[in-house]
Amino acid sequence: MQGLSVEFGPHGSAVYAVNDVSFELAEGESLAIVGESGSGKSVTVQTLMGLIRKPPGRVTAGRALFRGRDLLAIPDSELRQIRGRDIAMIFQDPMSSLNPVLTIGLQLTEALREHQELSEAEAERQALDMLELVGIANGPQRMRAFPHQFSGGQLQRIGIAMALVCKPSILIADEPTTALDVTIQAQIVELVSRLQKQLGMAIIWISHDLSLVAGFVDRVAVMYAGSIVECADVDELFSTTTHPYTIGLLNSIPSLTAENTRLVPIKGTPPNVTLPPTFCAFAPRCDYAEARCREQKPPLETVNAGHTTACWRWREVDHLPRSPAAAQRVKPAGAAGQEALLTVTDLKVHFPIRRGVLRRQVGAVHAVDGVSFEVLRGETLALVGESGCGKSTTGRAVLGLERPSAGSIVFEGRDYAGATGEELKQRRRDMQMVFQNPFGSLNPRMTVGRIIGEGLRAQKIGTRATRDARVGELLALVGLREALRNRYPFELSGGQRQRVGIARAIATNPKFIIADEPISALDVSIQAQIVNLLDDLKVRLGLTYLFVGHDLSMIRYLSDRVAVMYLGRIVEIGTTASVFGSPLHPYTRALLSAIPVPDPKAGGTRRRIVLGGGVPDPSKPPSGCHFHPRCPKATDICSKVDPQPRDFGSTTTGRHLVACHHAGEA
Amino acid sequence: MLSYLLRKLLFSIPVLFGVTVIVFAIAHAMPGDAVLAMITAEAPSSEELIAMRRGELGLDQPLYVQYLNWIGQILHGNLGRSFVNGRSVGEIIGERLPMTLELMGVALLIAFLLGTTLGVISALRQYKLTDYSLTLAGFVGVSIPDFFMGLLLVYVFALELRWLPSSGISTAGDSFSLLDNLKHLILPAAALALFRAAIFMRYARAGMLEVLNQSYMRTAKAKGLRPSTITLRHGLRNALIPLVTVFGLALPTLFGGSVVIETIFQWPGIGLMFIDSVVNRDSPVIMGYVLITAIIVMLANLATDLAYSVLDPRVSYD
Amino acid sequence: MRRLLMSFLSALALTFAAGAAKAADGGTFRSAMRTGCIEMGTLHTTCGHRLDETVLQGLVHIKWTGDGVQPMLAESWKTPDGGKTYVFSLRHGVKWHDGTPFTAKDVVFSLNLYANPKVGSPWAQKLGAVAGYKAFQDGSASSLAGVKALDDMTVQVELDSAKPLWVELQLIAISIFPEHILGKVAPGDIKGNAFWVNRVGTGPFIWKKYESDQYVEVDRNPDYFLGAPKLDRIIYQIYKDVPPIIAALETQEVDAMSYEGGGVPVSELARLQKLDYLTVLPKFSAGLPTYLQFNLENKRFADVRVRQAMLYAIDRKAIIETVKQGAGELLNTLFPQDWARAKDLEAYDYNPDKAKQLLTDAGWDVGQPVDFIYYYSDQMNVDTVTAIQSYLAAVGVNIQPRLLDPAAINQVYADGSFQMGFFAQGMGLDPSLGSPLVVCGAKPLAMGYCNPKVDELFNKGLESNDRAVRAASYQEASRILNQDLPKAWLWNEVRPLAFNNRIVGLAQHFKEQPLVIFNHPVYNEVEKWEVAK
Repeated sequence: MQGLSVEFGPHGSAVYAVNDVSFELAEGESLAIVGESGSGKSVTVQTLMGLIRKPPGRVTAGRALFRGRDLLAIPDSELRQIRGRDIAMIFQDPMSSLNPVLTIGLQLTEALREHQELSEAEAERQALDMLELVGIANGPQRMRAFPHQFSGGQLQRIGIAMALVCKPSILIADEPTTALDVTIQAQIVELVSRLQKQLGMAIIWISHDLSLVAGFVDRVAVMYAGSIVECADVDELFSTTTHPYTIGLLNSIPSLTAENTRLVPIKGTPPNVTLPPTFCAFAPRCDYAEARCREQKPPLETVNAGHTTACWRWREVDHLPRSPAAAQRVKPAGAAGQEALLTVTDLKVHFPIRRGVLRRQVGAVHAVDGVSFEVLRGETLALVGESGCGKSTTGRAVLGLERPSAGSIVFEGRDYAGATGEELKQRRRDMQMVFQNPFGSLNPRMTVGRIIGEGLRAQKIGTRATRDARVGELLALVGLREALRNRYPFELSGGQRQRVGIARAIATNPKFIIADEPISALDVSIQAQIVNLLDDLKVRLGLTYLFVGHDLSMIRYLSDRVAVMYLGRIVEIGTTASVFGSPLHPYTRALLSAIPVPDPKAGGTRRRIVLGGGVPDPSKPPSGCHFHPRCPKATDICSKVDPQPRDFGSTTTGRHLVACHHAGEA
Repeated sequence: MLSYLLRKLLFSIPVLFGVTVIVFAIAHAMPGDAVLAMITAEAPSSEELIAMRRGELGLDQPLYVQYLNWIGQILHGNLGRSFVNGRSVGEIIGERLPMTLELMGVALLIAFLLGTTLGVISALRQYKLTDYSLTLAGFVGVSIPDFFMGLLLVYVFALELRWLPSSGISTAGDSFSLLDNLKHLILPAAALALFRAAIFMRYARAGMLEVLNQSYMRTAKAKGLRPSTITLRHGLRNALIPLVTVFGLALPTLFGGSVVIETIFQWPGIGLMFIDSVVNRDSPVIMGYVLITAIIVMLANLATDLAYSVLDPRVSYD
Repeated sequence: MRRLLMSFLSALALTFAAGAAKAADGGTFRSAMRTGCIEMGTLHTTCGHRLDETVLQGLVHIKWTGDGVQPMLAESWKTPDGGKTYVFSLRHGVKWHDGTPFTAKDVVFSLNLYANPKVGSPWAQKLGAVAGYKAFQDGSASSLAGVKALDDMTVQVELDSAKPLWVELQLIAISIFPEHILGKVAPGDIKGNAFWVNRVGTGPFIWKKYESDQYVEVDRNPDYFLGAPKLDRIIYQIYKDVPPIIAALETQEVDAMSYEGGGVPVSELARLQKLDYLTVLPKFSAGLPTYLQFNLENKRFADVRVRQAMLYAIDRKAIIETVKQGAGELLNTLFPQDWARAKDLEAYDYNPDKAKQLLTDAGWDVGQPVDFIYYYSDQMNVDTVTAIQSYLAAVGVNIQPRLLDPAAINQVYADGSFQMGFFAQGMGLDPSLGSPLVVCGAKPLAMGYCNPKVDELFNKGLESNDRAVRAASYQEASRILNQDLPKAWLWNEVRPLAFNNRIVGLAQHFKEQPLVIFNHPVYNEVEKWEVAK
């Protein structure tokens, strides 16, 4: 790729999506392109493949040489032959990337039949081979199934199979694991690595997660605002980071092993890509920016063999410590009390399954199957687990958004389980929720001010004037400008919207906040900002948090105690230090080992426990210990007897409960 | 699937009864009855004659008795006899229904094919001249009521150009010829179809546009498939799903016919029969027509549901 | 794909060309007919008489010239006692279309069928003058005493009292049916019987085929007693509404129109007159007086001054000239026939001031509105009602018009809530035909009017068959009616008609017809018509 530039939109007010991007990919090599949303990484590879829509998109410069031909210059009919056959692509969300009304067999074979003109039988045979290669069992049957009958992980495997079926020379993977759980992500990464070696392919892997790609690619290119800012072999990048942006990225990733220091986010907001790229786009957020940076765009300079960077001051940066000011900023310690604010005992939420003419209940989905925990005043408890483990449902049941089928929820001494009406309203004053999706959870027809004030109005707190004043207070508290009060959500960025969501949650002065994956939809650099905000608010307002999430490294950073859930039950619960430091449950171990670490060397040597199979059907949970079919340590007793939680903690480490027959064994 | 169908059918029965009760009440709330409708000044009837005729037809009994009698008949599979000429209602409807089916069937088919094709083309050429002209044509088509279109077509093609006949289902008295039938069919079918085609086109365009933005279309392109394959195999199959709803809504009109078009074109269908029966207060015919239409609507709904499950594998009725 | 489309289109074009080239085939006469006149049968409809001209027949038919009757199944008749007893000599050698010979048995059977109370025919009162009619009707007799077959070919009919015009005025409505077929049907099953959609008659054309709501086809009868027809067949094409008939006339899909439904709308006349293949008769008298009807039992309308005032209030000349575009003749009494009207009738010229005066004198309550119903829904009549409404409003009569269908109208009559209405009533050829005003206080038609003198004059009018003698009675009656004004007569309708020149004899006979002859079969020499070469 040489000097690619792509614009979108009318000539006068264009969006400069890609600016002068150049890179090389050798045969069999794997390259990762890392960047946040809006960095232009997806547009770059999609332009290669001819997938962007030509109005409104325009390639204003550049050549993409593949085996001697310029992909950007040839007509689409010729490019079409290269697509799928020589260069293949897999996409981010496997559920929507596959056509829901066609069998996967058809979707697998059509590329073969189109490019290689094979007969139907021959194409099917090759497709079956591919399915086996990617690890889908029962191939002949599954060929006739439809996408909605598979899990996310399986679908991504099928997507990979679809891409590789013509044995292409290059595989482009556009954030293929972003929508998947951590353990599944590990599986996919392992699969792609294996296939690359087997088929000798070159890979371009696009991601926003630097830690993820650290483990398995050869080279990394970091993009920001449409340009490559740094490009090096993976080891070199981590050990000799030269560009301030890359440094900032690394600093905003909480590590599993480092000390409990405060995250250092990248200040400022994502770049404005409607401005022509005549200056260094990172300058507004850069700690080292000087006048030259704001006037001229730095070119890519060579640091050493294979390592380039685009920064006027990279030589000076080289000398500065990796985590500046890390020592100064210590994470504020919230004083955690000893008294329980919330006690949940044996909570069950079962959703009935109805069949038949008369809609009789024939079974139930055991979303939450006997969960007990307590949250002490002033602390942060995290509920972690993968999709379908019931953590979100637990959070919603605590808040009253789901009716529990059994169990008690005692908040400040009163049992609110199954409460309705006035009682529920009272509880909602004290308990609030911050939702996951900042795009979907704000009413697009209400202004920011109205959204934040809605809770006050619903609880009939104060007068109009006092409410207005309070909204102003809240805006300041979450770090938003007063001017944003009259804007609509669509005018705000993701980070700003999440701040609005937080402001809304604290409006009624609650004591307790449930945060359901509050940062997973945000860019890495913004995540750190929000995390810091939550931390600050906890101290200033004396809040107690219940976090629900699956991003383990952030969880570890944020919470005091952690509860790990699997298929509706808590398998391990204890202080963050003890759970992360010495995990006792086999599932917790597998989970932790699947988390990518931003250290290529450690990634290579660390033993990763890859779990086989998938999460079972929650309407038919396995007998005994729910985890036993996938557990490497399972024995006979595990399939018969439900393990009760046992305390493995001590006075120093606090209570550390584990529900496993074999916990504590070597 | 079977239990779903069974359940739907079961719940439809009380609905059917409810419909018949309401229509019966309304039909008898109209002033006058069948006997009064038959009196003209040229052939006046004495009071005794009127009373006698009422007795014959059972019109002198209280309303609920009349209704129960009718229900009783229905349960024996008998739709009754017309008050006006004593013919079996089943026979009358059976004579007319095929004519209406022919007209409406052809019209719907044309409308669906034309509308879908143009809608898809319009979506593929979004914001180009083709799209704008088709959208404009669609507006015009939707705004012109079908009877006006019918009159316009008759004026242009029958009266001015003399290309096509102005009315009737065939040239009277000639033996049946498919060609003759088709010639008579074109204008009324066109009048009906143009309006509905415009509606289908809007839905098809919207559906197709939405499909074009889906990720799997991008995947298909990434696989290097031909553009026609992508549009037809990947795009159209998905775009058809919402169209099934619209088509299902239009299905009942297949049997209800269009009274206005039938009058303009003198098409001897079920719509004409219905209007006559209302003017004549011919209760058995009215009720027979309503019952048949209600059943048809119910079946059409069921068929639509079934069509969904065929077209969209994600839809399953447990 | 494109090639397929092209070949399809060209095939289509060719077939159309071929179809268009097919000109009207020789020998078929297509006549338009309104719906609802066939299935119930002659005994129970009032509009199927066209089929009784060509398939079924009566003993006599009215001649198209309007001045007498044509002997059909009755070859001749005499009345030895001046109109009380008639002896008919039937035509010899006539066969029914299925070959069975026609005899007196058929005549006796048919007359009894009409009068049979179990059949319930509205035409029964045509035989009201026959001796034994009342006994038959109330059940004390099982047949008409006055009808007897003297032998196979002779029938005698005895009346209650002498009626010299009985044949010319009453018998013309009676058709003769095959006893060997309908005799097997129970009287209660006559109406709607399968026979009516597959008739067997004696006429010039044989019933071939009936497609419900589409057409009736009748084929030439080579054995017809007046001579085999020149036309191969007649197709009666059925239309529900008038505009498709006009369109079909223009495109030559139909040769003759029906006069039911108003004839050619005046707005279309000019266009049709431009076509050289049509003969247009713009001023064809319909013999159809149009009037304002009142419920005389209602106090408000009982005063004659009120009714006279209404007439004075309406500028009828203006309406005829503008709304009706000349299609109407002023009428001030019941009879459209010239000879039946006195010469010195009150003209009720337009005079709104006089109207107001009369209303004040009669104590008319201006504030109370009048419920006004009407039946004709075509644009011209709707406009007429609107015009009438504004004229009446100008003098303080506030009418609220309502358009109703026949059942609703009859309901309004039946429950006595009728106040005022706008209607027309066919009078036909003779002042005694059409709706009788004779029976004093007869519901629902008399609407509370009763003047025994009028009844007497009507009866007198039937006592002679000399027009000059009859004229005196009718003219006197017309004068009384003009004064009493039980209905406010507005005008006599004109129904423009149009016919295709293709059928020689069609337009010519209609030109010689003085007015529309409603609801009776007319003898117009259809067997002599032919297609122009």
